Formats: sequence, C-alpha cells, structure tokens
Amino acid sequence: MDTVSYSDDQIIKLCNESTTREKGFRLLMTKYQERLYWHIRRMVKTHEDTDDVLQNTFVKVYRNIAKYRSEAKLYTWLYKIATNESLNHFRKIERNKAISIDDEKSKIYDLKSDVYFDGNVAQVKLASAIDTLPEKQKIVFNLRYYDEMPYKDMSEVLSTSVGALKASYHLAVKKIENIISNES
Amino acid sequence: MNPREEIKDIAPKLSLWKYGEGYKIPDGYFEGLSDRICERVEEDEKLDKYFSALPDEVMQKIKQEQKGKVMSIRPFLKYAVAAAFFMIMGTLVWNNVDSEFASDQTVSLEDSEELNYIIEAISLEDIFDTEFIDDETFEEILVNEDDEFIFNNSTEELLYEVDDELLEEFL
Repeated sequence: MDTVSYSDDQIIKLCNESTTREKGFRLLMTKYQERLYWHIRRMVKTHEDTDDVLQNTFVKVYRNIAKYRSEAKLYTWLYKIATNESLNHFRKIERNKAISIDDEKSKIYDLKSDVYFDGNVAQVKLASAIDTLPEKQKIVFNLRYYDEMPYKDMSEVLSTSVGALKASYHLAVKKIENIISNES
Repeated sequence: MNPREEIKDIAPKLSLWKYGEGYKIPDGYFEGLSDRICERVEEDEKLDKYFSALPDEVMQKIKQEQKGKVMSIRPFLKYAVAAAFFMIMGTLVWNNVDSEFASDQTVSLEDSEELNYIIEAISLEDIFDTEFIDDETFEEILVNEDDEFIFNNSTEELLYEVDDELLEEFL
C-alpha cells in the first residue's frame, strides 16, 4: 500500500465513507505510526507501554475521525490525541502506585532494564535530565528538540500560545544544559 | 528559526550532544501494527455492539422473569379461583335452598295441606290443655262448637293470635 501517494484529505475522505473506512484507516496508520510511536516512546519510555498507548491512540482516532476538522493539520490532531493518551497513561500509573522518594532513580533503572534500550552513557544522561522537567515542559522539549516541530504546530497540539511555548522551550533547554554540564 | 540553529543559540553545549536516544524497536514491529490495531478495533466494535444491545437484553430478561413469576402463581391461582367458585356457588345454592325452604314453608302455610293435616291432628283437648290459646279465644271456640269456625277461616286468621315460638315448640 503506497501511503505517500495519498494526501491527508484523501485519507480522511476514505475514513469518513463507511465502505472505505478500513482502507482509509490503514493508510492513516501506516503513514503516521512511526512518528507517533517515537513521540509516545519519548514520553512513556518502554516499548511495551508505548505499544499500548499507540494502540489506544489509533483506536481513539478511529472512533473520532468524524470529529476531525480540516482547519487543523491531521498530524497535529494525531499528536494531540497521542499526547493526551500518554498523559492518561501516566495518570493511571500514578494512581496505581505511590511515588517514592527515589523516583528519579527508578525511572533511570527502568530505562536501563528495558531490553529495547541500548543507549550510551550520554543518552542515559540526557534521558535522565529530560525526566527532571515538569510534564508539559518535557513534552515541549521533545516536540521541538526531537520532532523539530514548528511552534505554530506545537501550539495546535498543546493548545498553548506560540510565545508561551518559546519561553517554555528556552527554560527547558537551559535546565537540561545545566544538568549535563554539572554531571560531566 | 530552524530548531538546530535555535538550540545552538540557546544552549551551545547541548547542541554539541549527538541526537539519538538509544531506543530500539522489536524487528518487524511496524509491519504487523496496523493489522493488530484493526483487530482491536473490530473487537472494540463487537464490544460496542454488545454494550449497546445490553440494556434491551437485560430489560427483556427482567420482563421474562417477571412473566415467569406470574406463570408460577398461575396453578395456585387456578385452584384459588376454583375454590372461590365453589364457595360462591355453594353459598348461592345454600341460600337458595334455604329461601326455597322458607318460601315452601310460607306456601305450605298458606295452601295448608300440611297445616290442615297438623290441625286435624290436634284435638280440641290438646288445644284446651295447652297454654297458647288465651281464655277469650277458647271461649270463642266453645261458642262456635261446629268445626266450621276453625276450618272456614283462613290460616292466618286462625293463627294471628298464636305465638310462633309456642307453636314451634308444640310441633
């Protein structure tokens, strides 16, 4: 299935017709699955959790595709759903277990024990520095640093003004640089 | 501004770090992903259909159970109705017999074949001996010695002065 030849508009049109819904949905998934996977993976860390959140994200997309309005870009709408699903995942975890004092250490431990992580020392350091950021700042940093998303699109995903996002990213980058500089 | 340029501007040290995260994915993960999600969507749709039909099914079951309860008391109801029917019929028949008997008594008193027989059976001496006829009446009887007095008068005329209870006692 050549997804590249299908525009977002065409995919949405296929999704909104009952006879072509599955075809359209498969095209949508194939086109965006990798981008969404990495966006979620940076937030939830483990592959298993990422797989779970990604599936929930696509199920939600399937159910709500009729509500999508073309004023927003399709990929920002998808990112928004993926971000919300990731945050819901965190909330679920937080409800299930009390946060311990050595939470930061346990997060790094989880990362190292993940069979699908083979990062070097620098990558573990960067990951642990990003983990110290507040939730929303972390998302802003990931979207800008790794996804290289324009501020305007980030504004659609996070429903925040471009100016606030720029300030948030600036602060996040400075914090991370300080952590890395102090450790090395 | 380009994000790479931007990071150099904000945090020169961080910009020297290699991009890359060290995360891996299982081989062939993305190849089967859309199939797995479509299967899940299908399962979810089945569940949705199940849940949307559930309230109707539950209500139907409740109604069936209620119907069952009504059915279960029906055999008893049948006997109860039968018993009530017989009781009512019995009461009606009894009342009817009773009233027939009462009316028969009235009729027989009026038509008085039986009464004639009874009266014939009672001798004047018996009457004389009894206390249920007062002295005046007795004198009348004596005045009208012929039997016509008694037998030509109506029964009611004959008995209007006779106490019912005493008559019953006598009979």
